[in-house]
Amino acid sequence: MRPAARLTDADIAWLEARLREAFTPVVPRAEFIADARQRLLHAPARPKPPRAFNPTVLLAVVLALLSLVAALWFFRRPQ
Amino acid sequence: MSENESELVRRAKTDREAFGVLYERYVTAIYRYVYYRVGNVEDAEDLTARVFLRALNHIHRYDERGLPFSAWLYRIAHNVVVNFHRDQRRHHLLSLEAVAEDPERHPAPAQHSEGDPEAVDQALDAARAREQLLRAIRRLPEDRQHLLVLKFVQGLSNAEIGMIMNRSEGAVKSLYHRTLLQLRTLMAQVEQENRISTSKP
Repeated sequence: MRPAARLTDADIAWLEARLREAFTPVVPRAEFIADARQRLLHAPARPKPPRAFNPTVLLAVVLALLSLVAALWFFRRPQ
Repeated sequence: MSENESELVRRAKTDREAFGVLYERYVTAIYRYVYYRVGNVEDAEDLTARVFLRALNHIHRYDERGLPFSAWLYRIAHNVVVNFHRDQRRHHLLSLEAVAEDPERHPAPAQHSEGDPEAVDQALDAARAREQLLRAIRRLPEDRQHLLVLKFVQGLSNAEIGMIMNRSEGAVKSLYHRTLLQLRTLMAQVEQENRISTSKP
């Protein structure tokens, strides 16, 4: 084969034909499909990790901070 | 993703049976992908099972927006295979080379008729050429092997591959062209090495 730095359309067609021949279709064993399915369906449930971003908690924190700022502003006002 | 599949994926987040239906729908495709990335039946089965287990454990994080479920599965499969190769490198195991070097367990399609010496010769030549090609593919970087398997084993379009690889269609096309160019060089190298090894006494 020519060690050229470019590929012609004919080169591409030739390589693609070789690739199609090389990658013959494979099928998993029926026993494997059935066994793996059973194992999946009976695998222990993994607990969901806690969410890093919880909108309710975030809202509560923001409201608490706003209340604090408002209270500080109110009490530090000159009488 | 079809509406039917969207609903199925939504149900699969809480319902194992629904996940089982998704498993049956994609197990052959994922197995094929993994098989051509690792090169033997045992590892392909083990890793395919791992892909679905990981999918099951993380399906609550899957968000359909723009990424089909199958593309999400291929991403998991790619990560599982890359981790496997990283671990295997320490043990000097090979993937596609194993397919090539184990023709009895991984036969090329039968193309010869018994008793016809010319047909037998042709079949042997074809098997040898396939072996060399698979060996050359194995020497490509992981992302290029990933691309070739998605294209030729799964028959996906550049747009679909782009979704899986998180690249634009144009970037996939360009990567594909560079992959073919590199593959041709590697095929020449493998052929040269083969010639040297067969000429040794």
